[in-house]
Amino acid sequence: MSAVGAYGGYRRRVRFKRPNDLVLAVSSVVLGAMVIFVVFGSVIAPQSPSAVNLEIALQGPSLAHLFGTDATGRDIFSRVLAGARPSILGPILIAGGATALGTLIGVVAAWKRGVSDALLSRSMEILFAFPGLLLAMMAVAILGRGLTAPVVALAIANTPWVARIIRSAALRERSLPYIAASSVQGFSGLAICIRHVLPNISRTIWAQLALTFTYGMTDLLAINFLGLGVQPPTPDWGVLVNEGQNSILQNAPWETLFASVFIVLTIVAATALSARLGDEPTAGRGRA
Amino acid sequence: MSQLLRVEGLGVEVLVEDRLRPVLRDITFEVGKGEAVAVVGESGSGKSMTARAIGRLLPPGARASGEVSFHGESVLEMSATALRAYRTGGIGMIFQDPRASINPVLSVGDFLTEPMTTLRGLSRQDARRRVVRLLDDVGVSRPEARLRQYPHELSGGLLQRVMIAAVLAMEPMLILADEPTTALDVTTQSDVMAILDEARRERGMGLMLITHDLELAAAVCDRTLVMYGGRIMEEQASWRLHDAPLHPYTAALLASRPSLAVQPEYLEVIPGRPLSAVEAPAGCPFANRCALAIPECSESAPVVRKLRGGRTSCIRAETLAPSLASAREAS
Repeated sequence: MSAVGAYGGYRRRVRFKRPNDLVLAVSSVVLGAMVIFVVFGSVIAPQSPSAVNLEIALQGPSLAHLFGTDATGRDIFSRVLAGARPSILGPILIAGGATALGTLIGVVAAWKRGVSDALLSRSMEILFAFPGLLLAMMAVAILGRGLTAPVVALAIANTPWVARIIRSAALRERSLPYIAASSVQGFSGLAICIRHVLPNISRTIWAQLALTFTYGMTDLLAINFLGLGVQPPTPDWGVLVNEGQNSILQNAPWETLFASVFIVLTIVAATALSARLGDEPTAGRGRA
Repeated sequence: MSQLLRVEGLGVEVLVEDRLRPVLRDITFEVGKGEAVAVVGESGSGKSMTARAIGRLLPPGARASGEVSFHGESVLEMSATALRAYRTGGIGMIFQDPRASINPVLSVGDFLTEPMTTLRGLSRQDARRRVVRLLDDVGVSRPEARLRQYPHELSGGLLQRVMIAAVLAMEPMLILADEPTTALDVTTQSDVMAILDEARRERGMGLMLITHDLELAAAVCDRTLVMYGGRIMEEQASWRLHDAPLHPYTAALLASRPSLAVQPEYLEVIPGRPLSAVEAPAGCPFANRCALAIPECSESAPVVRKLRGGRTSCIRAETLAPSLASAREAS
């Protein structure tokens, strides 16, 4: 009897913990590196990301130029590193804004229920109707090119996704007996939401933050690729992919290729992290 | 004894499959200052719903009618501010399952001191000192160490004591205890009840104890209220209820308990199954299981009326009461 129980318990813990933690470790390393590039990218860059030298245009990867050079002879490695900041800060702002707003709306809707919930939920559903990219383009058309308009538009466009998930998490949490117990102790709704509901759904919130970051990044880089957001010569990854397009035909896909690799790495790592955060915390359950 | 809580004609309807259905009908009773009243009944009889209505913790979509007044103030009509004041200092609620009723991510210390610091404005040190003393009062060993522990590190019995300490900390005038010992094992049950009872007597708090356990009700409470199918069946002084029930339902309940003196091969049972309040018919909800029912029982809604110092809803109580009492004595 007890042997079976111990066996089952032990197996479960070991089998589920390892692969997850490997994924977590790898994605953490990737994202950690990206953070370093965001902060120190232009300092680490071996050459100036904007130093033009037509004599060495369109070279392949070499020791002098790790990722090769672009059509005007600029060092692609340096440009990719320097581009980390505009490419990643924008999506972070989108994710932060959408998650903050979505969490606020979701928790308020779940807590108030009734008319407020219906009102908030229905307006979120109306927002669902607008594709984020389209909204961002509209914002650019109205407010002009640059980072501000698409970031604000994409943050708003991503809010309903977060709000809907946070609402359901908060609804489940608020129906638990301890919430009733603390409200009958005399705590106000606000105090209960801040002290009990938010900490208990924090995993979901973090997961949404990471996930929204990936969506925000895809859309924002697309905007930059189209030339509606960050403007050259700022070496944003979306801009790099666009600028490298013509070189592909001249047998030098390096600029587009390496910028894309960085985009894909960042998004995959953030998605993996989000999935890991969204999981139930099984690892610690065996102890106690 | 002056009046503390007064419930009059309380009815509650809840949404079941998009329709409002009554789960409580015409509940009327009082709890005096420092008085202990037990509410007993089978599952689904509306005991917990009554407590929730008093704490205004009804599920979404539920509608309450009638009157619940606390110190003369109408609970059902209180503003948000008044409601919070009432919940902070007026009532304290102890729930059935302490593990579900305490936020698992807060330490015991935070759980206990938070109401005092945020709602009563005590300093952290003062709150801590009071909490340690209270934990000691309710029989928790090494209270200082407990404050740093988390709910999952404590046993159910200990956790229920923590819950009781949390309620006592706010010094409410009335404690609503909703089956406080149901989730605990038998040996800790009596400890927890003794602690609750002692704390209540020392502090002069009122108690409304919800339980399945008729013996417990008689041991701890002055008066006992018997509920079935969302209605009050009878109400009497606990010591008289056992010897002279005023309702066939109570008599049947009493008869189906095991006794220490006589050990029959089979226990008495009440035929049929307990109705949930939602299914209760217009007449007496117990009529279809009652051995003494007559056709009139199912015809009209029973009215609770005074009889022999207690109250009963049985229309045949006058004729039946003497035989119910003598049946008890004979057994």
